[in-house]
Amino acid sequence: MKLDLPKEWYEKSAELEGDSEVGAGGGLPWTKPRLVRRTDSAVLVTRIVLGSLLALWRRNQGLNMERLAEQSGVPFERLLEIEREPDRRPDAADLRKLANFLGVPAVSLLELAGLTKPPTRRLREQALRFAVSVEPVKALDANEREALENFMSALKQEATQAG
Amino acid sequence: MEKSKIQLQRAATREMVEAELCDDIAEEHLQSWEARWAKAMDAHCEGLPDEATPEDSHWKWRPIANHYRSDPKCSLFAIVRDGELQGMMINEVAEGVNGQPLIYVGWLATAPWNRPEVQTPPRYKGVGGAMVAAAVELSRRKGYGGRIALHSLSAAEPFYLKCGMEDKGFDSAKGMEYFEMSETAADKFCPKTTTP
Repeated sequence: MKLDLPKEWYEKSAELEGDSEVGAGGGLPWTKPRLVRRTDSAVLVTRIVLGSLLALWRRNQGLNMERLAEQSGVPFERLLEIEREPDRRPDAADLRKLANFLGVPAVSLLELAGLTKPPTRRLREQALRFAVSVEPVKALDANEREALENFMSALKQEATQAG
Repeated sequence: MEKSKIQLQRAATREMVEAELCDDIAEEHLQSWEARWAKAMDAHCEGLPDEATPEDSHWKWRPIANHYRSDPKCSLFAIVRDGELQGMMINEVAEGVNGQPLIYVGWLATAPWNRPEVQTPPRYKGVGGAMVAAAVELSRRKGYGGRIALHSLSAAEPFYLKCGMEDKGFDSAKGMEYFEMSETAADKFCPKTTTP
């Protein structure tokens, strides 16, 4: 097969390549791709808010996750995912159960989770304000402080040795 | 085996040099792969932890090429300069996410000495671009308008974006990022050649 490309094209192409790797594939025979969409950052933010909302509400009610699981009918592992893994797409049926339990509109939780239309700007702003204001600033107790200081000095030591 | 002239860039001097694009991965290429490419790759990987070795370092080109050579849906290519194998590619007729026929780049690699992570400066640049141009040209000749697709090795993703390919998302079936080049992007990447 003949490629009729001028020298300038090859020059440009070599520049384009720069210091990049160029390998591809490793996967014949071809199969139809099963594409998954990456979580976009706007949804990630409101999912983080959804997680802190659930965690805070739970603490306010004095419920641990196990009890909430029993009472809401949402399995414990999935509650954990909603609270701590914003990368995961929550299950809509779980959110409906939780909304019912919390006494908030299901559609709002679905919006925060990125399962319906994107959250309105108003909801996003409220969500962000909520997330920022519930950031815990409570003083650490002696154990927590010691653990934090130990770990931070371990990080510094590690960096000095590596560098 | 048909051969045509292409050009690569000597990385150290940026001088353009002639190379050959061969429409096959023939016995002579596989011998060259075994004698030097595979040895250079093994030497590079020795002592490296698994996650630091090039993602294609375990590809066994002899059985791969022999397997696909007889498949009428597949096309094999090799790039040679100074009697030395510089890159290989195997393509297959497939379809894109919208069901349009296209050329799928199933395997593409450049020789270890052409990679900045193996050797500084690398020997030649331009193997990747020439291979993409060959895939586009093959797609045009088959009547697919230059459309191509591939799963990029993670370190190569910036290169395929620069070629004008579109990142269609993460393919959970293969565990790799999947890219397609549209007809428009293909025309922009490399002008149509007139010779049949």
